[in-house]
Amino acid sequence: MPDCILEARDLHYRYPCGKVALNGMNLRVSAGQKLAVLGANGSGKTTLFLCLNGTYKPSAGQLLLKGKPAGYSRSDLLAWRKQVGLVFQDPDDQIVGGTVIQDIAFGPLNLGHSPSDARCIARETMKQIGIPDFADRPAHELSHGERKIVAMAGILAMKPSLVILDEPTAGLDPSWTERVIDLLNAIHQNGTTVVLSTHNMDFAYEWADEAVVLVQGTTRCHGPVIEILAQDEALRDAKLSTPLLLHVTRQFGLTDNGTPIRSRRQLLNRLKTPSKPV
Amino acid sequence: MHIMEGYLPVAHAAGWWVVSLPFMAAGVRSLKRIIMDHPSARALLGTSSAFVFVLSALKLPSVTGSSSHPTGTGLGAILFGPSVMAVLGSIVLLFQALLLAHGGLTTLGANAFSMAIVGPWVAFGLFHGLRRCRVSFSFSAFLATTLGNLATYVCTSAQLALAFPDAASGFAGSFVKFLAVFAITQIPIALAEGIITVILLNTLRSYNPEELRGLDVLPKGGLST
Amino acid sequence: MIHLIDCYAYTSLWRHRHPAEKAAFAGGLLLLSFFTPLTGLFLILLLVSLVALLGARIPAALYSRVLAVPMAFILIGAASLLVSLSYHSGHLHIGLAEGGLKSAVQLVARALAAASCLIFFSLTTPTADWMPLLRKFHIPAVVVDLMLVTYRLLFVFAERLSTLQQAQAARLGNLTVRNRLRSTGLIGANLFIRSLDRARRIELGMEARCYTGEITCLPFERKASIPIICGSLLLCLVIAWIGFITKRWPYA
Repeated sequence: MPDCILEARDLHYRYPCGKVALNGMNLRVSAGQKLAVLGANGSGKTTLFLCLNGTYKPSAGQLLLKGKPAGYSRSDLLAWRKQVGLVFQDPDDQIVGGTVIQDIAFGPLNLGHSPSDARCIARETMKQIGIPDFADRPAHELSHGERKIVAMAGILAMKPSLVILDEPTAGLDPSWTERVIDLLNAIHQNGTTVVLSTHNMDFAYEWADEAVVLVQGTTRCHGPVIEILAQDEALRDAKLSTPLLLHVTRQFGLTDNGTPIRSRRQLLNRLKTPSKPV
Repeated sequence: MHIMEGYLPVAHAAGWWVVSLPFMAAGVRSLKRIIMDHPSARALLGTSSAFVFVLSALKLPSVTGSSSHPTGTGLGAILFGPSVMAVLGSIVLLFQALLLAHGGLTTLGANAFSMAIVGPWVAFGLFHGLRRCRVSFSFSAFLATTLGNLATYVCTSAQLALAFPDAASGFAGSFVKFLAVFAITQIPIALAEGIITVILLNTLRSYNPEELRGLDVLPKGGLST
Repeated sequence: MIHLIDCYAYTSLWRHRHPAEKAAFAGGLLLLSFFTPLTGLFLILLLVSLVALLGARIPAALYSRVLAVPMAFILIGAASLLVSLSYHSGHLHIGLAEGGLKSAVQLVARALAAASCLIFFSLTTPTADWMPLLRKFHIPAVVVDLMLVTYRLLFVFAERLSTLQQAQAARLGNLTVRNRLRSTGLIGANLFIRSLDRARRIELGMEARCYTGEITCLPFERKASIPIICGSLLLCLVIAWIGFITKRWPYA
């Protein structure tokens, strides 16, 4: 059983204006996982993420980091955010540096690295992500896709063990979406746990190991993505749609030697082979 | 109305720097206090100066047909308070000098005095004074912004007159000359900016989002009057 | 216009030279322009322009366009020096000022020389490169941090403003002066509300990266070249000397 690195138990959060955003949310993030958080607009995904990185303190419920209750003192929060990186949906909320390398070095500098070390770390991160030539470009000259990648790089440079991304593919064209997904897979392969929220059900179905569905601030269901996305009623409650591949393969009883078909490539391969008797 | 780089003789340029520095230093102390009490004010102050800068880069329609730029200092004084404006205004002036070739570094002291110190204090004083006399919000804002702008223009004319006294009539004659020359552009800008500020502030008041309450961290700032 | 100087600076040929070198050259000559007579001023303007156009390869069109920005103010102000006002026996006399032409020419020359120095610096040194230098000049950290956030955001706001203006124009909000004033006020309010919202979110973004209260800047990678800095100062001395020996020339 993989270690549980982050757990939320019965989280409640109410905004100062009175709006209830989280109403008994439960979540378990295991080490090395790829978790997709799914829910309609306003279901509480962003609020949940801000609770998971210590920005918001829940009004009720418990947050456990590696089994221990989360602390909110300055040093606790620093240690917390060193381990848990949050990439916001809007990159302009996170990019503060003048040039790309200055921005990516912001995190390592805050963690106490010397300027020369921070520069090395930033360069290394850019190389790993595939943007080494961005170093001296000013942030405001970048396109939306480029800014999203730089915002991610800024968090990855801090080498967190868990990265949470709020709608990482929102607003991106197909080529940038593919780049981002490749990046997420690469960091996952390096041992980082990845949690993200998305509206793209096909992407969630293909990419995630586990999924959690949120409805109005509560957890509707949580489990392996194949099971969760097959629960039509839950998806309806959450105002989400069934992934196309799941829908089609279920309709026609297609599998890849017994395992579910979760990618286009798998489907095309399956369709090319002559149908076997069930 | 920015005094351009190299325009003032060295003694005057340096002199105005010396005059403005205490106000800037007081503004910095004020800023440090605000940020210590409310760490979240840091981002607010940065966005405020970016906002003033962008506003000042707007092109206003002008009666004479040419376009002119607002200063944003009246608005800034009412929203953020005058002590903080000494620093925010100076930051805006620095960026204007380097990014827009508007103004200068040696003349920043003089420009800061008229645009980041005199203008905001006049606008702020007038606004709150008028409100205390139960004058309507709109009229107070309009008069405060317009007269604050005019105060800036008068102050700049005085600075120029001090540096270049008239051969025959000295300071007084020169002062009149500069006032007259720049009146054509400055008076319409002041009026236009007054109107725009009123519309802007009234729109803000009708919104009253949660964020506006964040302004109350700034001493004497905010729209709670 | 906001983008004109800033965007070019990031791509300029001399971008990778240490900002201190450029500051020594431009700053030294700028300060000299206050102390040198007309010949010195022309030399400064000529030298800086040649270095800008031939050395740093700044496009002539860009250089002259930016230099033209302060021109209106400079010329109007100088023109005021040509005229003299006096008040005698109840009448206002307007006449030509004695020595007015000389003062006006001196002023225009100095302003142009100084402006060329400033413009040279801003066209070859992007903001992200000169901002870390400010800490060396003992500008308080709180101010530099503020400048960093301001700089980062002014482009976001400028873009937002331009979108809002285009939307207003598309809805015919710009037809009359009254309409334009009203549109500007509404746009300003909209921009301000969004900027407050943005402020809050930027704060959260910085906290998410363990911001401790002071933005540490990455210093410039290369070291400043002492020979170049010394060379610039030497150049200033040479021009100062030329100015000094030509001081007694007519119209110098």
